[in-house]
Amino acid sequence: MLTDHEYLRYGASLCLDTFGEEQQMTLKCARVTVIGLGGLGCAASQYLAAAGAGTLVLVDDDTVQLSNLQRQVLYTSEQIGAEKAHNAAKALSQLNNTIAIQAKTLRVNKDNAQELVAGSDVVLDCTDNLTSRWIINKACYQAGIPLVTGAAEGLHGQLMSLKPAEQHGCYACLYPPDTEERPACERTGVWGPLVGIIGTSQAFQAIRVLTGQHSDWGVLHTFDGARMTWSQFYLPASAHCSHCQEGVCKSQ
Amino acid sequence: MQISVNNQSIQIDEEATVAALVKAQKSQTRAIAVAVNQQIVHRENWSEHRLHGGDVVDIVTVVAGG
Ligand SMILES: [Zn+2]
Repeated sequence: MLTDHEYLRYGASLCLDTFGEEQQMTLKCARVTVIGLGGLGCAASQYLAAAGAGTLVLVDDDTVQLSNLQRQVLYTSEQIGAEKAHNAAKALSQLNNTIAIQAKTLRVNKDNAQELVAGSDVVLDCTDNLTSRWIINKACYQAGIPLVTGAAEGLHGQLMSLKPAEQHGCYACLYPPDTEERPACERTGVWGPLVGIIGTSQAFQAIRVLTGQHSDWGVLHTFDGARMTWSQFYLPASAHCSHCQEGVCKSQ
Repeated sequence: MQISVNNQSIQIDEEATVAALVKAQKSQTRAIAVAVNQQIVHRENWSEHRLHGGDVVDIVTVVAGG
């Protein structure tokens, strides 16, 4: 049951044709893990918190840098040098004090990934490098947990929702583990609002996933900020994928 | 034959493969994904996948920042 406070707080959601008390309760009971609290994670987590995602788990090992403030909108000038996960949790609990927020100051790696994603109803990959992205993809596929992956650089964004139970491809089918890493965000540069566009799209997709309204699994959405256009590409599973195909050597 | 690559019309040999196109475009082969008619073609299939006149090809550069 929703409380009177929740009826008022989520009133604009509850008015929607495709959303009601049942969906709001589903959100309230959901555990959403956001890995990476940079630009994407700051944007995504704000809308998830505001929408009433019941338990938010925030994972990042980094501290706030002056050059982050151009796009990582949960942090303030006074927080330079402070832990991102902890400060993001603090800001989000001010936004919505009726949800549970857990901050984990650690870096996702192949040893802790399974434990980090375990019990999540959906995972958001908001990290800034391919290695973390493969680790998270593999852990979600092993645990059968839906994954909403987002990325942003320069004027370009990419967004994809993956459901291990479905037949489409996974992140490693799109970018096999020999794909070359490009320079980190700070060097490539990124338009501040772009991480907002992609991060809030991840929150949007996550809410659709949680409330059973998601319909574009395995579709790579690319955003071209120079043209202000989105494109869609379907990603089939690769028979040779070491992450999502049974019987393929998993040691890669 | 004529195909479209990233919204630009180009001429390419009849029956050219995705691999030949990628080479002709001088794309960094290990930092891209390729879609033909809005479906991703896996890297291991680039040398077998033949293109046809009118195909719409998108070469998508990897984006990993956050
Ligand atoms: Zn795969």
